[in-house]
Amino acid sequence: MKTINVWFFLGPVRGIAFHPTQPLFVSGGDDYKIKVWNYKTRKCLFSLNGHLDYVRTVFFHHEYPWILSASDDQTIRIWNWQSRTCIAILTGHNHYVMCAQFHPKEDLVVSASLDQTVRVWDISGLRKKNAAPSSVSFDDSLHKSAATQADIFGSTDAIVKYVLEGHDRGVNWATFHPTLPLIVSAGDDRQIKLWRMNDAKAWEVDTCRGHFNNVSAALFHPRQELIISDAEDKTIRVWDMSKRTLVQTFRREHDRFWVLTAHPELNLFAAGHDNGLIVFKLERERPAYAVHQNSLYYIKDKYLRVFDFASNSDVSVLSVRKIGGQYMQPRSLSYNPAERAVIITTTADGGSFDLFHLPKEFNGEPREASDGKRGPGTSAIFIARNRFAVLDKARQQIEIRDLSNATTKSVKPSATVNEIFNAGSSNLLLLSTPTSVILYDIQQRQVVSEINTPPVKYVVWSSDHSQVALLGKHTITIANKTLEESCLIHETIRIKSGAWDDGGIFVYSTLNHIKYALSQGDNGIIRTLDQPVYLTKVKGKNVHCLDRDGKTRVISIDPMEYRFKLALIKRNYDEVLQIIRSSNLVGQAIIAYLQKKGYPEIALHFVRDDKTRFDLAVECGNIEVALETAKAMDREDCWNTLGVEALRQGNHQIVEMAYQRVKNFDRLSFIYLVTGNLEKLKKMLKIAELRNDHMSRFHNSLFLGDVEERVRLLKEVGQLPLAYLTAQSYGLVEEAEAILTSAGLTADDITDMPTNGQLLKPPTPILKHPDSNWPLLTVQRSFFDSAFITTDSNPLAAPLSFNDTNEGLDDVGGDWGGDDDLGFNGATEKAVDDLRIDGEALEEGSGWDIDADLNVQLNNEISQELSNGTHGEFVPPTSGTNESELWIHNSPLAADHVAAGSFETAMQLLNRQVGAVNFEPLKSHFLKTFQATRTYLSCNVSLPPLVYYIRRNPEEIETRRVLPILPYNFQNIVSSQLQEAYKTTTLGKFQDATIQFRNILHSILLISVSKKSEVDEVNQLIEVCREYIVGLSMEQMRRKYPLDSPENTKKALELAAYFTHCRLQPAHLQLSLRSAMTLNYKAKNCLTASMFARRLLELAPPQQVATQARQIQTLSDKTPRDEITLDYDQYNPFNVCGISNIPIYKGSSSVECPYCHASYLPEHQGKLCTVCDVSQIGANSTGLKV
Amino acid sequence: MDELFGLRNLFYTGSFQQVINEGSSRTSVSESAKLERKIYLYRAYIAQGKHNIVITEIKDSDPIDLRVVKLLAVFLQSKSSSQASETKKEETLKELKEILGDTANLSNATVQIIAGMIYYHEGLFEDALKVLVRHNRNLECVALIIQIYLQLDRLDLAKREIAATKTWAEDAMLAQLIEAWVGLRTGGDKYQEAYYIYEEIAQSPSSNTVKVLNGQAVCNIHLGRYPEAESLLLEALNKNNSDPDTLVNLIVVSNLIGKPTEVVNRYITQLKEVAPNHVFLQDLDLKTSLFDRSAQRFALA
Repeated sequence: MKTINVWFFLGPVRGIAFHPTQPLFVSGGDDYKIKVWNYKTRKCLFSLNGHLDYVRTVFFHHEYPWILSASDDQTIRIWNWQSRTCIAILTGHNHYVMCAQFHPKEDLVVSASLDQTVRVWDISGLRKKNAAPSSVSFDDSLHKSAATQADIFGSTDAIVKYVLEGHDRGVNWATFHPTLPLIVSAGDDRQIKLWRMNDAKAWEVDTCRGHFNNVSAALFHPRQELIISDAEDKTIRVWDMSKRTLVQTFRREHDRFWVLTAHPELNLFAAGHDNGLIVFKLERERPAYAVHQNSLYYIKDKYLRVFDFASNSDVSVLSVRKIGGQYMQPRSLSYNPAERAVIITTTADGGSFDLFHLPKEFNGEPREASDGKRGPGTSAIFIARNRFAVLDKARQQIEIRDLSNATTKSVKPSATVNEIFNAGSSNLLLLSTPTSVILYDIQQRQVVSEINTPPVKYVVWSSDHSQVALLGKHTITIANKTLEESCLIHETIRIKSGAWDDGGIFVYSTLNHIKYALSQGDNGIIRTLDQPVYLTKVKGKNVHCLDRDGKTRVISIDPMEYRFKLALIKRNYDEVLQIIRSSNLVGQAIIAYLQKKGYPEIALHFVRDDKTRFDLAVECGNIEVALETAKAMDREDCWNTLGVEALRQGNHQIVEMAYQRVKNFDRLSFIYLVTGNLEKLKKMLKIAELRNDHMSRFHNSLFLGDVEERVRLLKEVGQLPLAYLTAQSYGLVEEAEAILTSAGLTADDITDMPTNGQLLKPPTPILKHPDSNWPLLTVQRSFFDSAFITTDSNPLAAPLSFNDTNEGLDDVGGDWGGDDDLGFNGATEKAVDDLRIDGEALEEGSGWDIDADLNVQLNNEISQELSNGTHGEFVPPTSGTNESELWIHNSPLAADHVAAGSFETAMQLLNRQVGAVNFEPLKSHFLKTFQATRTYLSCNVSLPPLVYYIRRNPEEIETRRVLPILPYNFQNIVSSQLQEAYKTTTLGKFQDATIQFRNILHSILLISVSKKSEVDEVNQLIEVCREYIVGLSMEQMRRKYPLDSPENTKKALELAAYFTHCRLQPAHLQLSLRSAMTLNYKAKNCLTASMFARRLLELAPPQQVATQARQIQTLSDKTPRDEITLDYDQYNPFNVCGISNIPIYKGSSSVECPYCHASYLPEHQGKLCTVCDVSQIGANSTGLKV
Repeated sequence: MDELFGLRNLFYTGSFQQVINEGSSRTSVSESAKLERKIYLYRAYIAQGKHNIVITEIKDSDPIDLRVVKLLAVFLQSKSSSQASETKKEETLKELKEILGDTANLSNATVQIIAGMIYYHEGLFEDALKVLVRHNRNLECVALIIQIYLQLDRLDLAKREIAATKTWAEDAMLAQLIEAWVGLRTGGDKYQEAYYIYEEIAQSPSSNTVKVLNGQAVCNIHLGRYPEAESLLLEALNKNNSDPDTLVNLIVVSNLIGKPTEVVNRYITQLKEVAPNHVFLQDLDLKTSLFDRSAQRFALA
């Protein structure tokens, strides 16, 4: 609670109420009068007379022009302050009425009296009567007031609805709940009573006991479930409305409280006491919040919420109800992004903090905060991922704790610390002392730097941590990382919060403004605010903030002004230019700013007013603009100024023009003299003559060296002696004589003629170029002048244009066609189709001779999540053993033994499990597995590195279960290696494909899977590889048979036929069938060809393929016979021997490879399997463990 | 106040050049710190492989602390050069024994550390421990003891040692590093903690060294965060393209993220060039021949 302002009030006034909308207030006091005042004009408008004793309370109606008054005369009166009449008198109390109030919405009045009752009055009758049309004629109003009078006695307008009895002494106060049907009353029995009412009755709900003297007033908190009361026992008390328990007590030493009120909108209360009044708030309104990157973590209504600035999603994450008690708002929040943890500090119990971990996912219901760690401290912040600092203000100690809340270090700072803040690095802290902020190194326990500031309450770092704003109550200090001050800004209004813009501008909020500050100290208002907000992030034109209700808001601002200023300061003139062009940034303020900051040339571009433009132009020496504006204004002073400036620059043409304009002949003459412009000088002479300006004429003639003219002039003006002298000195003897004669004198009369005269002759101009200027002073042209001159009309930036290049998906594969040209009509001749796999255009390979749309899909069938897991086999622990030995102990998998480097046992295992005998192809796999399992870390300086063993179950610390990481994993094999092999197959690179499939078989020997289902998948994969290897080898072999002799053709046809029985992917199977079909057709094995065509059609091939197959079928059916009899029975299931490529029909004896299960004729028993190239055919085996 | 706090940290994080710069600076420190500063200076030279500077600069008249540092330089030089200097190595070992024969020297921390290091290099872990356990709350001795325990795969002992150290060592950087070393052998949550330690150290700009980057990368590898580890290692490689540990760890991580064999082999070749005697390569050779021998046994006639 804090007092915002205190002032004093004298006089016998007991009740006051402000009008909700108009600048009025009403007062009632001991003079029995009710007075209505206008507080703007500070005048009493009128008085309402009628009460016969002290007036205790007065209230305005929220809607009607009514005033409700309660008086010691035992009545309650309702007045119409527009007609200034009493419209109702509520009688019934038989003692002083201490208080009477309207219901905030309904037509009810509640009153409290010393007769120990609280009464509820129904005034709906009164309202109905007053709801008449507003235009009331004089007669009507007369009539009405008469009727009202009548009703006073009939009491039909206001009737007592309920009489609430329960207080044992007089009741001082009663008021309605703003929304619920509740009444609270306070009495001299030191009790506060809560009453409930419905349409039929009202009854006492409960009593709050605790005050130990008369309770003066009680009211409901406008927004929370609280009752606030004050009493003559010098306390203000806060009660829980639902539990009716005392929540808080505020005591004043000497002042009894008499009255209490709540602010209609703000979270403020006021209480009047013996010596004045206090205004207070019950709780801190600033929500605790922290910003991390794009997220805002804040607490609203006891829930920790996360707001995403980008997506605007706002979720409730954690309930923090238990923190700090029910009525205490958390004070601050610190977020740790690495551990997803928060520290919340409250002032409860002298300050405490709570540390929580946030749930992994922010969806679903908010969790109840559990696993919290708690401790005492007034301010707590994260300083590193696994450390936080806690300040114990009372003991002046800073503790560094780890996430388990164990203290790892404690520091006693040298100065008194009020609060601690983050300093961007793990071993640095900012300490706020009453006179400074200290940058403190925790490791070295020393002050790194210190900056003197008024007490700092908040610290805001810029996103790149290069600048920090230290917010005090009325000051902002902006400093750099090492606390070197760059500026100090004073505000008269309290500063609330701030946030850095990405450009390095600090945007802050005061009680009623959003303002900006540049780091060199410029600041200004961005916009005004209706109510205080707490800025959280500035993003372009949007300012994100939290209001006092804890709601996130976005306020749009115009950042142009500060961006402009920043650009100016940073001399980023391109941006300045762009802003000038693109925005409507105008106004005296900006011009004055520019001028003040020494950028008149820029200011020039904002101004349309000629006078200002002229001034600016002169200031920056822009003579063209100055001339232009001077012409437009044509004012003498401007011309003069322009003349001076032009002269300074040496631009005598402009000077001439300026002088001409202001008719400054003397100067004009002089300029003509110095520029040697005799023509103009002569003109000047004539002009002077015309003007009858003798002095000027004389000057000009002097300048011109025109002696005759001078003599003539002197004669004309009657200066004969001078004329004579002149004529004489220049040797114009005749003229001199003439003068003498005309004067009636002779030469003899002239004595003492000056003899030391010299001939005065103006120098002859050597260089006459009056039309061209002198060499000019160089006027520094700023970036802007040229920019504005040259590119004013150009658009600022041409939009970047992109040329979409269509990837040539269509022109695939040039050399289609191959060795198996079809012999029949051209209808089905080749057409190049797109061969696409997963949308990717492929070059046509040499293998497949047919065109088809292929789509390889296997992923879905086989792929499933592969995760690390543990195996059930346990080996007793041995201490002091190398981790690789543990692996061997812990696992029956050959892969793990390989990883441990125990190749021998691994081979034994493989030999036992899959009959492996040929390890040579596995060598690279073994070494790779071994290599991938250990890291090397240099520990002590100049010692060899230590070896560390990488586990595939990193969460495991039980040595009995640790297992090595394996570089091969099933999922990768399926998703990349297998797909690659399929692709190679499609491309027809059969040899490469065979190697790839075999490579898969080898890799499988060194994987581990965690789920049973995956074991089956591994077996499927082995089968797939085997089928492909067998099939592809047959196809490769077939190509070696030239179709020249019947034997070779037969062999080729057979192999092609067998190939169609390998279990391939449908797409590949189609290709094999097409190959077999065309081969047989060409070999005139029509029957077989037709059969292949049928099988092909069953697979629903693409349109073109289907047509071809049908054609072959039709043609073949005409000659249903085979030229060559094949050793091939399509109806009898068979496997092909991997070595001899002979079908082994079901039922015939065969031997198998123990690993890949390829079939062989019995005579190959004991040989190396040609499919997997690892195992011995027919060897005993227990099966592969993965 | 520890005058050499900064210098020590620079040394432990592997900023040897900075140690040399600061160690040769003339800023005044107390007499005892002066000697220690010199020790770190020479040890930094040794860490950079510049043994000759140390050997020529340290005179026989210097205090024992410096003389053992010289001994280390001589030893390491003989170790890295060809077989011919085998006798030289024997001599240094003999000299060391003589030094240790003097009981006064036995309680000298520098002597303990250097002796521990030389014995470690020779694989005489027992001898090393015998000398080191006499330390009087010297963190560097503890660091050596822990490395020996870890080398001997006695994680239990290492943990016990660290718990004992924590009672007096507080939060010194070396203590944290030791914790990370042990944590990386322990696994579980300790991986993350080790990572934090290295990350925290890396935050200060002067300690963003190859060594610290490697530490962070190793932690990431153990945590299964391979891409992060790779980028850290590449950063380290940028700083020093011939650091053997960086290369080894790059080989590991490349294998784990399925980089093509060529890439892995390139790193191996690079490693062979810069550190032909690296444990990793020795292991690899050993395993290759082991493979061939073992495979022979199963081969079909």
